[in-house]
Amino acid sequence: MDGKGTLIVQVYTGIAQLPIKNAVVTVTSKAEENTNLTSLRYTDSSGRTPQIELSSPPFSNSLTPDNNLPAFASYDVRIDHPEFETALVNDVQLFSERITLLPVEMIPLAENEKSGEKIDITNITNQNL
Amino acid sequence: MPSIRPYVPTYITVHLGAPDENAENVTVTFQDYIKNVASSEIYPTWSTAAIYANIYAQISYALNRVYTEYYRSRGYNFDITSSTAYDQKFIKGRTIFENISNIVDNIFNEYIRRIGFVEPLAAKYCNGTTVTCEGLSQWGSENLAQEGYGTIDILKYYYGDNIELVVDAPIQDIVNSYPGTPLSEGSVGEDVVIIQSELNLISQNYPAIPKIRNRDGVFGPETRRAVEKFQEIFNLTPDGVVGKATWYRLVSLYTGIKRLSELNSKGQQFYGVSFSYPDAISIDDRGEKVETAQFMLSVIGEFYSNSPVIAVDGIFGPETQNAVEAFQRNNNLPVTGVIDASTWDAMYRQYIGIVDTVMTSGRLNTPEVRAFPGSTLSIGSRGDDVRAVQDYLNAISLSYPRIRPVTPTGYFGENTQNAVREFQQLEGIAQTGSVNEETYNAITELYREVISGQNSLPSQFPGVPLKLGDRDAFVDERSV
Repeated sequence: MDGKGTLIVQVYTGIAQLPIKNAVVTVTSKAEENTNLTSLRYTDSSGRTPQIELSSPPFSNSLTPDNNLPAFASYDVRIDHPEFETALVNDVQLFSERITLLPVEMIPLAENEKSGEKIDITNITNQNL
Repeated sequence: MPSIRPYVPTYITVHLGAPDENAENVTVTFQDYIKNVASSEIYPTWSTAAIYANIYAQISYALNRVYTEYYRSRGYNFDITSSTAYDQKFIKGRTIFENISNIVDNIFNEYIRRIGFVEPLAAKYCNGTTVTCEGLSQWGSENLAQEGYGTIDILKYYYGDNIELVVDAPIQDIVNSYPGTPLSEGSVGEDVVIIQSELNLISQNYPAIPKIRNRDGVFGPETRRAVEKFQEIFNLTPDGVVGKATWYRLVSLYTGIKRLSELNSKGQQFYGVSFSYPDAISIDDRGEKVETAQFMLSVIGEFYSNSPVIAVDGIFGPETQNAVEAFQRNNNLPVTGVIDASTWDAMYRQYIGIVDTVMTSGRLNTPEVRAFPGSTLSIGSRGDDVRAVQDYLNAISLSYPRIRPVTPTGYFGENTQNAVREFQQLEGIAQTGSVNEETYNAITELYREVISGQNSLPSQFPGVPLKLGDRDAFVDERSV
């Protein structure tokens, strides 16, 4: 993989989009056999991580069909915060020279619910191209 | 019956499966829906002309479903599905590509139609490799763009010459429409006041946005800095200019925060109300137990995207029943539409969790106001509600000195009546000197905006440089 794409995670709660500060965002690559931790970041007062640079395949791979070359790189992203349900987003797509935004809506823990007890999972499937 | 003129809905409800599949419905803003579809259907590395062409097709298709009430008229309680066998690909909670997000922000209220027809084109498309169809070929559009075709040429290639683009379609329920030309440093007027008010309210929750101390309708450097920071946070081009994309993002966030604040204020009427299970509640029930249940469901609906937000009117009708069923489905409870003990218990636990995390923890920083007391306040009225109105008017008078401050005794005398009249004149309301619901809501709204401008959070830049000899306005007022 000789290209780079950028990931920005933005964490909030509710339709009103109240930002969640100090959420822990962990990014793991699916490329290696053992999922290695690629990146760990905390969200700021706007609920945002800084820009996270990640490896991705050559830009030109995604410009023609049927070339059997990977158009993007896949990563898994986990978001934790002690007052909210843990969120997991699988198969986040990173394209070279493109910024991927991951807005994550976190759900407040219900009374008596413990952090990590329930995980809200999103699986991103490929474009039908 | 379809309405006469197509409009862009504020929200769209998406069924996460085939129409008859037992799946959840999520409600998202129209812009977020299209951003999601575009990111699910195509690659962000494609040529700009191809991306625009595909997004126009996606917008038109969705607006056609809404305009023709395709699903609603068949008895379904959603506008469109996420199933590609029926509609467009949509993945709840997916990533959005920034370049696609920016394009959608600029064209979300533009669509294709056949010349001579009113309805948005039900634009069909397919990938063009494993599936071919009458309509746009996704890979074909990228090939054409690489050969130098522009967006309109690509659309005409696939949909025929007799199409046109409608730009600036009306947006549903929008209180403040984009003025049509961008606002920037040097602009003056009511639209700038709107921007400044919205930024100050949003900055209560996003402290990185600096305050605009003078909400004076003049777009100066303070306003520009606040706009730039807003744009940076919300992934818009940070140029300090309020064009269509920035305008509508401001409106959307402001409206969301305001609605949650109003719901929070409404919660005051439930202080002291028992939240213990009152007995089974079902369709056609009325009264306090229904209101309490509806209030909990509304709060839940603000934080769970698969729960609808409903009116708190004390009447258990089809809308409430639908919300109860959605709640039961999402919580693995028998879907009966009747609130039994276990449903009530689950609702209460989620409701309290939200209150603890959001409302009481200080996450929702919007200034709290009392809800309208239910009857007009006028000369001779007494009590906490009068006292509250006096406090609000005094805060407002710091920014609007024409309104003379009154001693907040809780008694509505002549001074208070004069202050109310001055306020009503300021806002262009009939100068009755009495506070009916309309005047009350106008007072609390302006109070919130004024407080948001005056009231910086500890880590927040207050909007003007501080120097030796400066004091806080509130300190001065209180010591008088």
